[in-house]
Amino acid sequence: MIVRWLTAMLLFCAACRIETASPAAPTGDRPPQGELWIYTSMYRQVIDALEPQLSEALPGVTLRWFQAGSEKITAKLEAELAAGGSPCDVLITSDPFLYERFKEERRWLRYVSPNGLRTPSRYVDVDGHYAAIRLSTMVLAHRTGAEAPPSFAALTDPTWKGEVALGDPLTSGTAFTWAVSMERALGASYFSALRANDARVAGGNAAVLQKLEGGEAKVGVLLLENALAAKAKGSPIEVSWPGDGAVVVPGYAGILSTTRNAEAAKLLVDALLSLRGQKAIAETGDMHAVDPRVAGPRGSISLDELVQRSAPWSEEVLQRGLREGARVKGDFSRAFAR
Amino acid sequence: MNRRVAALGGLLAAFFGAPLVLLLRQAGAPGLSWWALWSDADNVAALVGTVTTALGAAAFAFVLAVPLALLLGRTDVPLRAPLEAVFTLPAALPPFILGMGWVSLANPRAGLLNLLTEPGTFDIYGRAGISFVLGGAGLPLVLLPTLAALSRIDSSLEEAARMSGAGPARTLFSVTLPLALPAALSGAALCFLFAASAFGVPYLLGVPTLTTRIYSEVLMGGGLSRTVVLSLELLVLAAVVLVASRVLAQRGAVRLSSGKGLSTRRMTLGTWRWPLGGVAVLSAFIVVVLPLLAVALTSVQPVWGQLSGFSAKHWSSVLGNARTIDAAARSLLLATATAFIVTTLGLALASTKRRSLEFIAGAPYAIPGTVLALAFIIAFSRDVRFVAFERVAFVLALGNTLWLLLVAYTVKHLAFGVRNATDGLAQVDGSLTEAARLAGASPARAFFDATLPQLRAPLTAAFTITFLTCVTELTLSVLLIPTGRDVLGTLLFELQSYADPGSAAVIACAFVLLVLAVQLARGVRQEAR
Repeated sequence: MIVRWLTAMLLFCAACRIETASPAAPTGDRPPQGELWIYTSMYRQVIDALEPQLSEALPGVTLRWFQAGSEKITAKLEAELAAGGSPCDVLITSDPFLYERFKEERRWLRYVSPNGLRTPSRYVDVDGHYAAIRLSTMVLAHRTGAEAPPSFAALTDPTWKGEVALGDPLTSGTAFTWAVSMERALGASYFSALRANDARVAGGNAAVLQKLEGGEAKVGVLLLENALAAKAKGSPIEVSWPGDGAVVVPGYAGILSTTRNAEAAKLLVDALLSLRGQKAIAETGDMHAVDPRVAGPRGSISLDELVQRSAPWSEEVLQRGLREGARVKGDFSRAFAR
Repeated sequence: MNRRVAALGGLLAAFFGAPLVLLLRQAGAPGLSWWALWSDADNVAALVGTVTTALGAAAFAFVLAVPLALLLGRTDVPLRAPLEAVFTLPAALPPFILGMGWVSLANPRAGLLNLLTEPGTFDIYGRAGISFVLGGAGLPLVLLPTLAALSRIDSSLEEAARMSGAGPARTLFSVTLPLALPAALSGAALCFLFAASAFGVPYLLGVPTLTTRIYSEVLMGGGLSRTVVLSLELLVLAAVVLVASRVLAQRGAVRLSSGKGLSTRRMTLGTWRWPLGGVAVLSAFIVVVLPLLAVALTSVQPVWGQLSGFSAKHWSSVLGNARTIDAAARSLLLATATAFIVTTLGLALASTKRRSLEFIAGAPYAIPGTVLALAFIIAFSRDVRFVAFERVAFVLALGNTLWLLLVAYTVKHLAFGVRNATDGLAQVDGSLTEAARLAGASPARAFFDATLPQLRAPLTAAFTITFLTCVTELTLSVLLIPTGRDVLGTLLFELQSYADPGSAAVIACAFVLLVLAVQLARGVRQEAR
């Protein structure tokens, strides 16, 4: 009994931190100090590559990274906001619709970085609520030796009956963006046609890649960065560019309006959009930078060409995903209901 | 006694009740009809998916674990210690990893098993596959408590039955089995909750369940309220299953065992010894070893699913990485602390004999990790301040600390401690403790010297399961880990979701090897005694 109480007290005290409530020092025009909390879905190796240059750009600031998948980060952020506030200062994930929703909820601190002027116009939020810093792309991947499908639409062709692997738009953010784009171009009948062609739907990009590598499927809809990284590792996988347009999933960075370190956050966005930052993102993340001076990842097509070869991206697409996303998901799950 | 109940109730209220209430408040969003959400065709299909797969998993684990427990616990079947160690292993792996193993073994087109036979012979996708994988993963939840119960049955009872003319089979079914059944049933109930709250396996094998719907709502964003309303269905399911298992178990509850000169004489199987041993080994091979081998194979393949080529680069890059070592140390520490707290707290809760407390402590296990984690974030992301002497503030800052992770692990797995301790206490008869009290021992002394030793087996079972589950816990860890730290779960998540299953397999394999070594060492030591 007593032991338990003592333990409880001890645990409580250990979990406490003792603060003296001294008045905060006034801040002047000195370079930013303190902490900057960044929630990001960027790959660990990208963060590792960025970190030296970021601490160079923000010498006095301690960077605190929370890294997880986009979905997990959204969930954590929502819960923290529901509780009354999040420590997050800068959000860098690959869920474009979240950024648009937060824009409507007026959660962003508007900032236009001078380094972002080279970003292709379709990925720019003209009001400066958030900025694209990297571009992931959904492309077609096929096993080496198999015939490459000419387009996403061709996946319903009998040639690939039973040979197609897809991520599940209900649980994978990038697959959802792809589904919204396809539904916009071809209508919900596209999903039924995929189902009739025995396409295999489960998991996210990692699951699609495994199905291709393991030979369960000959073609799949996959993120370019996953396909390129796998190929470099020796996977028997080739990328092909769909004739009806690859689906770009812009990765945005946004500063939350509740930030307590706005100056540092702005400098961070500047650094991410600088040539060095963009190079690090493209080279270690195997994805496209938003700066046309940076070459495509692993010898892939250039940014200009990507803009040519991808389905249009605009405010309208964002709105469609936001407003009609639930319906698209419903159409999809009805088409694939067993 | 009452003060203790109040204290325990307070702990539960603060660390489970409060987060849950705060989360439920999110369900009161305007314009959200609970009924419309529940009766939505997709969500009904998901509920059916959850119930069928979880029932299937629990039934599979029960049907497999009870005969196995009898074989391992009451007979002289060969290879008992290694078999027990092997059957415990699934607890040490995130079910996701086992699922990955099964996908590479039994996907209909290119699964290894299908390549050996004929394409399409085995198909792991679908409900039956999920039940099979989750039932195998949840096997230790049934097996360990049942073994613990069997180990405390006095052989003299069986001998008495034999002397009264009952044959070995009759003795088994009318004496041994009823005594172990409550533990087995409550293990099966845990297995049901485990399967109902699992996300990774249904996600991987492509069947919509409540957990995948919930995940989808979280992903859609703005869906916190919808998430909560859907999770309530899981809580109701948990209540039904916990009550049902208690009713079933009570019908067979026999309070007979004791700690008095316990003699376990194992049944001699005679000519059946090796054939039955062979069956046990075969089932261990199919349910546990086969998927583990597939995972191990993945860890040495340069490319997933490519049989050609061998490469140790996953192993060297993972084990040589300082982050892995750091994360492993932190995970082991957290899991040990959690297992200790869960076992003691579970015993304390069970010994109050308050059904309501036991029930509340068991409920969190049915809540999907994501939802539980969200509840903790909502409740503890703000600091709680107590200002003293105007200048000194005591700040209870759980958010973004490892303490919150410890609390979350404990709350989620409290069910292991409570269920095992309850089943254990139900088998203890009070005469030894009374004797100690009569001999002048204080209540505490009597408890430590007389009651506790009789509970060693179930408490060990609770500790083992909790420890193994927590070391590689994934869902809670990913959401609650403080910035800049890692545990094995977050590393596994990172590797597996960023398309590096080979390295994830290395972590899983390394941990399995560690567990196997410890278990075997323990088994050898026990047999030497």
